[in-house]
Amino acid sequence: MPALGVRVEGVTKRLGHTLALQGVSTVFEPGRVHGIVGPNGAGKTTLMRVLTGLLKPTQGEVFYYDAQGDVSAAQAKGQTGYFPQEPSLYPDLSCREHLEFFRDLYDLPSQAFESRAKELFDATGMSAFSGRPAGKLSGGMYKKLGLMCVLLNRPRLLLLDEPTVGVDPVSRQELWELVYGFAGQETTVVLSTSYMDEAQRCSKVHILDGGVLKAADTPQALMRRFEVMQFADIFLKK
Amino acid sequence: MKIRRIVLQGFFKKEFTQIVRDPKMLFAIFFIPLIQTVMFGLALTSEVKNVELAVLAKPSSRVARDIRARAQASGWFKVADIFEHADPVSLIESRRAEAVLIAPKEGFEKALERGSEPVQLLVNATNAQRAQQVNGYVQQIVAEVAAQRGYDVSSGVIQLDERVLFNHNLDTTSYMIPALMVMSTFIVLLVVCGMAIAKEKETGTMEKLISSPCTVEEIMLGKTLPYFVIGLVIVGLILFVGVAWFGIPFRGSLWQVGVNGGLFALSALAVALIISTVVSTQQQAMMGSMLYLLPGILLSGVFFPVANIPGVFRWMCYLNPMMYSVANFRAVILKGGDMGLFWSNCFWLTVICVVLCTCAYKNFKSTLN
Repeated sequence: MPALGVRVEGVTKRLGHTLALQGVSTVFEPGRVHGIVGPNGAGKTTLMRVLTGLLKPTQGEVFYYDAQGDVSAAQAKGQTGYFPQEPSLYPDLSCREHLEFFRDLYDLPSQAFESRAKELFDATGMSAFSGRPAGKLSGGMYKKLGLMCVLLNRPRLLLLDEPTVGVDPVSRQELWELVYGFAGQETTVVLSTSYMDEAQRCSKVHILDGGVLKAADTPQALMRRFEVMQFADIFLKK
Repeated sequence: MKIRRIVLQGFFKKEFTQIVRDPKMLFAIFFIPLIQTVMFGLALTSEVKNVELAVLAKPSSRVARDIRARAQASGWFKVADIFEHADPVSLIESRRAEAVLIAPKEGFEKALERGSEPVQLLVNATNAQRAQQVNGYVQQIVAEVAAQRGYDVSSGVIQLDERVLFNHNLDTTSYMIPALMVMSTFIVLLVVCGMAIAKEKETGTMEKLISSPCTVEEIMLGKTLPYFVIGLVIVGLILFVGVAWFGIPFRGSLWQVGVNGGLFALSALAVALIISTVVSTQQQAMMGSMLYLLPGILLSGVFFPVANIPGVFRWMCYLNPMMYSVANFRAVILKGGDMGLFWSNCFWLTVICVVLCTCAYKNFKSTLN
């Protein structure tokens, strides 16, 4: 199945008295790794939730598509994986039990599940901890398990909301390798981050500030446009 | 509406695994109903016992002696003495007697024969409810003695036409255990299921479920059906303890217990779902459950007869699913086959269930959306 792309057109989202997003229009092309970058309160999580369908826009629309044409929101929901900022898991269930629970939610055949579970345990280096309850995992392993639950369904659109916050540098590197390993022809990755080095690793960066989309392009093109040598300077220069 | 068996299976497995691994949860689900059953069965009884009765009559009166003998054999009275000359009021004031039955001047025999002379009964009514019951006991004993001795007291001075049916010994345990099957199960289902859903919201796992390919219906059923099964198990457990340990009669059919149990468990889970849609933490879910449970139990007929509740509040009883379930279990277990009453209660319970489930479904769906 080809990767899913998303077209966001004039999306405004009001949360109480706050305008979390104001007329955001951008395109997340299929098969690429997209970064949504911005300071705290820029509207990154709100945009992520709008992309997953958890929040409905106050104004504007979100369209999903792939190489063959438009995809309905209902179809897209079944093929989207969302990794929230706090990847909440069940502390009393083991890693293996988490994957089994999500296997049932995704309605995966046993054979496909076994091969994918093995692949994910191997890729994350978590095989030795498959029987350990989630509540007893380290911060990095906890995030990896959260990501494994999402990746088990082989999503065509993978949405990661600040996946590396609170994770040590080694685990951050491992999480990145895992994400890059799955991105490509079959999966579009959209991640939000406050880390500029992570933003630079994306093939396209969408800069949000105060709920407004400032720019969206490759990191190199953005540095040229804002006339800075370092990516972080885009925000410092402001 | 898409509901897949495999998804529900996944929820069942997850919920049961989590319950089994949480000792506090297991305690709340099974131990608390058992403790309540034992407490209500053995200790917390509204039955009036240990009454001290004095009979003012000639010691030679056969009727007086029969009354004393019957009173002592009934188990309700601690002491039953015959006094020839005593001041009945001072007997009560000095706490030598709680009730004094006074024979007319010419004796019990003549009074019962004529049926016109008043047989006076003085009862200490500082506890009105207790006094009412003591009054009933004495009337019953006098009626029995009179009948045994062949007196016609149908038009007499004391109301002697009272009969106690279905629970001949006015045994509180037999009366309370069917009510407990509803009360304990309702408490457990409301609190445990409400908190389980609130926990998913509080810890953020609900977000994960919503963003998964599961439908709202699958999440809703997946989160409630395991507790439905648990509810039926608790009903069966209390019934088993009631019959096997406390020896309560079981005159109805198991399928009636199943139908009534299923309907009220469904209504309890619907209330839990509604509460869970308006709260965001487990603490709030607990508070919400308590807010419902307190009036719900008081207006269910478990402790106070619905007929005694003033009309202004009685309509609240009619909206309470617990009331119909309690009435049904008491009728099924103690009486047996009053099918008219059973189906009438089931009908109203179903109506309430449908309304509650519809509200729960709409609320749950709109909250998730």
